[in-house]
Amino acid sequence: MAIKVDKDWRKKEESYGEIVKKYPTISPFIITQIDVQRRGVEYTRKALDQVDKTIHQTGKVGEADIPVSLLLRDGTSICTSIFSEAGVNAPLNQRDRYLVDVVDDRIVLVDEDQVIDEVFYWEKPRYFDKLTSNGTPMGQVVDARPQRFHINMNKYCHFWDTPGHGCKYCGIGASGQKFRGCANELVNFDEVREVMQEIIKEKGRFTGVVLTGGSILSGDELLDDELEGYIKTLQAVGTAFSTKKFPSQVNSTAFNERQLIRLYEETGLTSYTTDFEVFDEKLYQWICPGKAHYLPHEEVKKRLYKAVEIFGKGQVNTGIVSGVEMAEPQGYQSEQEALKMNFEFAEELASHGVGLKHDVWNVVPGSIFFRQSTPSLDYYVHLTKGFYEIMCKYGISTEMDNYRKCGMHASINMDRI
Amino acid sequence: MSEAIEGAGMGEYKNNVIPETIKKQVNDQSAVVVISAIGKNESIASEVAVKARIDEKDVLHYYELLESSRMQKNLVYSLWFDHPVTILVLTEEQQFSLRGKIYKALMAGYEFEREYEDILAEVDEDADLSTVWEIEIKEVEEVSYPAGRRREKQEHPYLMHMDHIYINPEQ
Ligand code: SF4
Repeated sequence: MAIKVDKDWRKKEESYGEIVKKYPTISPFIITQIDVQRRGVEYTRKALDQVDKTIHQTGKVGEADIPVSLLLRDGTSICTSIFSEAGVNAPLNQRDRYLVDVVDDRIVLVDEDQVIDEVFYWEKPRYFDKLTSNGTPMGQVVDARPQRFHINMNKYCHFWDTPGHGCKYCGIGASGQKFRGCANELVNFDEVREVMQEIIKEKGRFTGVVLTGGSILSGDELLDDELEGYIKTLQAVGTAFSTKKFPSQVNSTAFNERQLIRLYEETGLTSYTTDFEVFDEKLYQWICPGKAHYLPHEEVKKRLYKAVEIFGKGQVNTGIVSGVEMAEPQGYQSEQEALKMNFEFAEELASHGVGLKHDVWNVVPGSIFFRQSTPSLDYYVHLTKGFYEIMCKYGISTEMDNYRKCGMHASINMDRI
Repeated sequence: MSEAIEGAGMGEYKNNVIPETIKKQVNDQSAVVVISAIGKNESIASEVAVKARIDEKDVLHYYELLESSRMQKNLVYSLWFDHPVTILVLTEEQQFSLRGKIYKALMAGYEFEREYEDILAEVDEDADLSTVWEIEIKEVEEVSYPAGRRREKQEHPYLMHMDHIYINPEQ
């Protein structure tokens, strides 16, 4: 067990059951999704016995094949993180994880001996274990969730080149170091083309593709090399489609107007995201120093508004790693204050047509923030509700990032009803 | 249970077991299946199923082809907030009302992909499949008019206009 549990944490915040009662208009499935993402899961031996590596999408933790994630009965994907049980820089001050167990022949989520609901393991795409002509397992070239595939265009983030420039909640700096400057730092575009020929055989499987990756700062102008990487990857993906445009999203570092126009015109891309990560400007500078150095808060905003002009309202959004705004010592000390700040800034963005999404912060081992603790479940549910209401108020469609195409964003999932 | 099944042919059926004849007609698609579900802001949606089937465990599978439809949203709502759904099964001879509870939205994985390919083959290549809704049937009632009339006379003998029991002045 890598995390150290604060044995009194349940006394300090409202329980899952209390929050479900407190928010009668929020789906209990969404509350479950948020809390499981927040607290993580552990598997019992019986639950692991239900894993079939030939069917399920798994990752290795020590010797065990752990399901990469879970599906709820309503089709919601819960994206849990599977961290190796690293002893170094392991998160501290955390809460108990949910247990995945088997009760009455069903795989279920359990908390304090109470069954929360039934869950299902993700089934992997059929292409996953096939090999490219270079001998790479195709699942390593193009990854997947139950209803979308995604490509990590660049495995290393160059904000980490300058000491102290990486985002403080991010674990990519440590894990991506091994790819820095390697031949396989960038995805291989020929391999992407090969995988696409297998993907098209799987009817009914995918509803969209997402491209993301570490930032590349080099080029004639800042981020030009990153732009080239996305254009080439999208063109390789595009070889599988009969139409110019296909449901797709790039989540990149904030491109300027010229770069955005190229991205839109030279590829089949339909939607664009650049993540703000933290809405408060001062905290953005503290938590994401590299980003803030090259792309000040105001500049990111301007670039997002340009993206709306190019891609259209409803085809551009931005995300935050919700909860880091409460990191100590510089973050907000009150959840109410933090929510107020998030809603005010969200409203400003949405009034310019920018959609909102938030990831639930999961304290990552090896990140600079590994000692921090995440806010309460109440905070996340309140944020989810608020973001959704702001999206509705400004009539911004959620389709570009819906529960099938992503699944991680609770506020967007509220739009299913 | 066996009494109820015998009763089905007589138009007296009310139970939680779906009569075999109804199952057969749903599965060979000779019955019309209409589903109704409540949604946000108390909106009610009803839709004729493009496809439905009842499996060996009496779970009704309702195929929703349109991701953005009001029915799809209402079914999500009914699952999220634990509301029952109603399914009308209309055959040439009888009409049944089934009350169900949604168990699961099948929308990903190998089983879904098989269902998806079947829909493309059965409907047309342009069709899509959003979700196969798995609905556990909790109550089955025959609602054809003759059956209802007979039941009303038996169970509520004094609910009527009295001319049905006036003496005939011409006699
Ligand atoms: S931009 Fe920040 S969060 Fe994203 S990979 Fe780089 S360091 Fe990590």
